[in-house]
Amino acid sequence: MSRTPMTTVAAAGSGPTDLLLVQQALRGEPAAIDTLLLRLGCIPRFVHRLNRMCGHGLPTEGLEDVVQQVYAALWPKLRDFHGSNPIETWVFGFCRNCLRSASRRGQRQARAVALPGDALAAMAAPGWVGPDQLLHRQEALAALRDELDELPDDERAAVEARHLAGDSFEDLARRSGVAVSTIKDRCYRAMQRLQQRLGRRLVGGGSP
Amino acid sequence: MTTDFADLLRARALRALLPAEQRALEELAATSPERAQQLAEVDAVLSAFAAEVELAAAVGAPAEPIEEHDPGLARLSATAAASEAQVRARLLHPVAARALVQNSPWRRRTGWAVLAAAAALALWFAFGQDEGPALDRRAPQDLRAGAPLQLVLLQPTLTADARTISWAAVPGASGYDAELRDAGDRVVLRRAGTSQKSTAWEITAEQFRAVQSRAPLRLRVTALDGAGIPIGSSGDLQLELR
Repeated sequence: MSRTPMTTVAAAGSGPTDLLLVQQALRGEPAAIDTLLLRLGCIPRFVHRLNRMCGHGLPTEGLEDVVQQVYAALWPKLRDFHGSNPIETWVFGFCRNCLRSASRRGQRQARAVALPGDALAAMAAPGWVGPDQLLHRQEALAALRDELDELPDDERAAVEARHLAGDSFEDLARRSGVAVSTIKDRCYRAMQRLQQRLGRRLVGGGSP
Repeated sequence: MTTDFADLLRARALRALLPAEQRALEELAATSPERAQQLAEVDAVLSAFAAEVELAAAVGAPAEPIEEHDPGLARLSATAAASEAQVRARLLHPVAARALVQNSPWRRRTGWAVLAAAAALALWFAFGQDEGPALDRRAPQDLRAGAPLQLVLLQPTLTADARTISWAAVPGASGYDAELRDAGDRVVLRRAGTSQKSTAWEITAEQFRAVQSRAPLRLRVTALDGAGIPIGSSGDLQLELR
């Protein structure tokens, strides 16, 4: 079983094409399995980069565990892949969550509730430049993830699909089997909660 | 076009605001500090989402040449290779592929119901009667729900001079099934039985000649526990005949 060189970048497919790929792989078609695994080869790179960019600071041993956890978490969820985005976008979420969990376990300490006053400015700044801006942006993103975790499942799914994956309300409604207005309501309720919990902290410059 | 602040703010939060409505929203927000605060809070959340999207784009960018020489990333790639092998085995093995369905909520609920029924039955056997029949220990026909399948590691190669296929022992295995199948998925040769504890399958010269004529062949080794339930698999591997 040969390992794809890490410099090889599998051609990213579109969502619907990737859905077909996953379905074929789940049917046990060898060529599809090879292609799918080639595409999943992005996992170590994603974990490595996320660790650096989000300032988790996990050692390589810890990252090895995270890579294994990503594969373990992703495998049983393959049937849930709905193909609205490329596989890499879907994989990114698993990498992000597994790394975050590992980082929390490693730190064993409560995250500071207050956000720095210039967190909002750091988020608005173009690119990933400057250690201070990077730190503030990391903290703001961590706070966003914390608040997303607190949302009810249906609201979180709706707001993530809308604002992170860029899905249309019509696609979301079709996938969920509910009316477009229901999806909009879920998304807006989530935004209201986030506005109260996160938006207020960001605008207030750290006062929760 | 609506001119109600609450409606416009909702549309903004949903990223469904038209340019003309955006101007109207800003003008309305300027009329009151409270409204301005609300708009700023919504925009702050949207900015956080935008930063997350930017992070995803940065992480998903193509590999950089400098990363090729990063020893940490090389180690992670090696770790990923081992995990990939397990995913490959599960995808190639039809029994394992069926296990995927068992993760559905319906299957999980069914699993809990079966467990509850089994527990009630066990209590009835233990306390509900003085002398009951012995438990039927026949092996079930399928994998246990949620039982992780271990990977059977082997080198799928046979030559005329070295006609033995051997594999790494799987913890907890009481025996191993091994079989060769042709392109039409017909069994060409099988070594079966839970009593087969050996981790090597020696193929006679006569058998080798017979299977050679049926190439290409796929090899699958399945580890079984004491009840004959699969607990590990190599997946379907292309057998190299030389």
